[in-house]
Amino acid sequence: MRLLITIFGVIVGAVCGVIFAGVYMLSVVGTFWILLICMGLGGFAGWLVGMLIPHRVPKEVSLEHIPEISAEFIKQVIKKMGYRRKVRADVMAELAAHFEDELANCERPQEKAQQLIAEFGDVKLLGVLLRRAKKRSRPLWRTVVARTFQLIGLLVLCLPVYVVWFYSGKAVVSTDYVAEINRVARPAADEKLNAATEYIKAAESFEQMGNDISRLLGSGYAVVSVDEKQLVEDWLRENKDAVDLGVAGAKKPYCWFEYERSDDIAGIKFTFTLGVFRKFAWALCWRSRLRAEQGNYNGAFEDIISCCRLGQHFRGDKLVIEQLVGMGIESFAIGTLEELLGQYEVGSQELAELQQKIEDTAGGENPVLSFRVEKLLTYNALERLFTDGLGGGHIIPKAMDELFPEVNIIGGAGAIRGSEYGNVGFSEDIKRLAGWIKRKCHLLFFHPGKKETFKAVEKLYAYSERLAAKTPAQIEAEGIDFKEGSWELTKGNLLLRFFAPAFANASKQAYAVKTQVDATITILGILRYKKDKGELPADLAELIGAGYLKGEPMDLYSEQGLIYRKIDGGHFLLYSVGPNFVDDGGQTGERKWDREGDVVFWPVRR
Amino acid sequence: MKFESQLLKGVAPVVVLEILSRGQMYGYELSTAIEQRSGEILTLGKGTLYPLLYNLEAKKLVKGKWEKTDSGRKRRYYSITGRGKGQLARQKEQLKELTAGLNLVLGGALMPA
Repeated sequence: MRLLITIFGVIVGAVCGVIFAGVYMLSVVGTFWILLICMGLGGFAGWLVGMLIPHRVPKEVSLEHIPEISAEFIKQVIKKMGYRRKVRADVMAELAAHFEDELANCERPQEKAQQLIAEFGDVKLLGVLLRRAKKRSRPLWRTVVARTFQLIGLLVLCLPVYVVWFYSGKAVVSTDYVAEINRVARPAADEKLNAATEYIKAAESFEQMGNDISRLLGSGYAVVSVDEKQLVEDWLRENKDAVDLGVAGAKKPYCWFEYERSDDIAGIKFTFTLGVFRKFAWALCWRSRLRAEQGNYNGAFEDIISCCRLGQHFRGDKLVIEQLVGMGIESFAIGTLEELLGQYEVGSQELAELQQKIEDTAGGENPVLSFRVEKLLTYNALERLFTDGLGGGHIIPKAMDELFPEVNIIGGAGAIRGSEYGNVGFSEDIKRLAGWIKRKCHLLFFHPGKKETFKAVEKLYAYSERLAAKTPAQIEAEGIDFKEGSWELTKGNLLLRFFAPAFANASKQAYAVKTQVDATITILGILRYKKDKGELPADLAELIGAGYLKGEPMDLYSEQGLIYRKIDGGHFLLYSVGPNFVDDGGQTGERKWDREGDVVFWPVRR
Repeated sequence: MKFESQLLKGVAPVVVLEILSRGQMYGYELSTAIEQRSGEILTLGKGTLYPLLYNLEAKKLVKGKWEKTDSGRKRRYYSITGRGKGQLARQKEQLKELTAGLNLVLGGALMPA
């Protein structure tokens, strides 16, 4: 009995540990220790309780002193009574004693025994009455233990049924979110104004681009050999029509792609590959470098502007990943332009035209990310990941695995971070197994249902939209941690945790690009001023006053103007305080947008 | 005498508590004592005795413990608890009032001769 109570204590401790770890979403290490401590405490408590129970009942009950018929009757009663072994022994001993007393000194014990049995009445009824009475007299802790065991037993019995029911759940798709995405993503414009037509045609050439060319285009222009440069030049010449077709597309004011419905788990199909557009951007920037090298500055700048427009075509009401690609392309184009300006002496008139074009193209750009399409895409995924039935619908693990196999790779339960597995001292297999168990348990018992997830989506996107409208400086001043905030809002939600972290990074990227564009326009103004006046302006106010710049370029990392300073040798410094929000006097970090140091736009880093 | 079971049901615990208030007893002893002290008018069925004792024990009105008798045999002795005494006093008071009421209704038929 003591052993049983101790084992029970260990089990209760383990259950408590698992619940505790589940509620507080502990890491594997945390869960392991909590489990161990709880099991130890439970076992100790069980052992203590076991020790406190005294043995008051005779262990063996002898029925030898009473007639066989009486002994048989008692055995029958005890059998019908059921209940705990010790209680049964207790009652058995008492009934045996009663028979013994009644039959003592009796001349006809058999007859008396018969009579006594008749007086005791029906075996089954007596057994039931005895059990009921004994059950009433058991202490509260025994009742709690008994009920707990019963509950555990019931749960164990119900578990397979629940698991089968859970895993056999089917999604019910009731809303056509793909149509809604197409409606939102398409501006109110004529099909002729859609650049997608040209882009898709041009994309075929870029898709067929060989790995060697692709690698060279992705490399820095300064690091490739003359032969490699020639190789790219030849490719650009051979594919001039495709590049020009893309440039023609970039001249159009709009770009929208049709998303298609698919029968697979994703439910949506993209008619284009985003990677192709990155290759297209590389090609344009390379051509602009080659053209600048040949003295064709107007042609070079034209390609830069086309590349900027290409990037902008992926901004606005698009998926966050598309907007990110757009930002990347735009940033790449502007970065290339900065390099060209730092490398070549361009005439004032050409600079003025370029500045005007950049201002027209990207100057007034809104850096606030759009989440409209992304939200619809999330709803589209939710419809396929959740059932629509009992309890408002539950997650379908199989669908989740199919749609987001990456979640399995990080081993997380949506509730835990991949990094929490770092340096824990467990072998990879154990970590993987622990991650798998935790994930399955999380999906089965803790994952929010469909309704809760839809509500969480609303909250997450409202939060993301609110914060995306704030500049990095405002977010820093208000002490907001975008990533942590979105992480908190999506706690325990596997799907949303997959999306959330990207939003904060994408928003930062949008403000970085905006700052970069404004800085480049300012650089163009300063260079023009120097060309025209033979000296640098004293400050940016002088530049604005002389009509070389429309307004003070804002540093979105300080909520003040970008910092301009004249330095020795007739040069100047233009920089943003950067992601550390501190003016480091124009000292840069190792990389351009490092957390340390300033982001220096001029002089151009080579 | 054979009583209606419902009639005896309410009285049986009072009888057991009353007998036990005079000293601890084991099952058989108690059964015999009830018969003797009631002039063999009251007989508690054997099938009723032990469930009744266990119920009283559950309510903590009596407590049982294994002890050796004078003859060296082990018997489970029942004794009344403090709570049991209080309960007995209350029930006796109620029975007294019940008897008085019944007497009035039955025209003094319950009065001792």
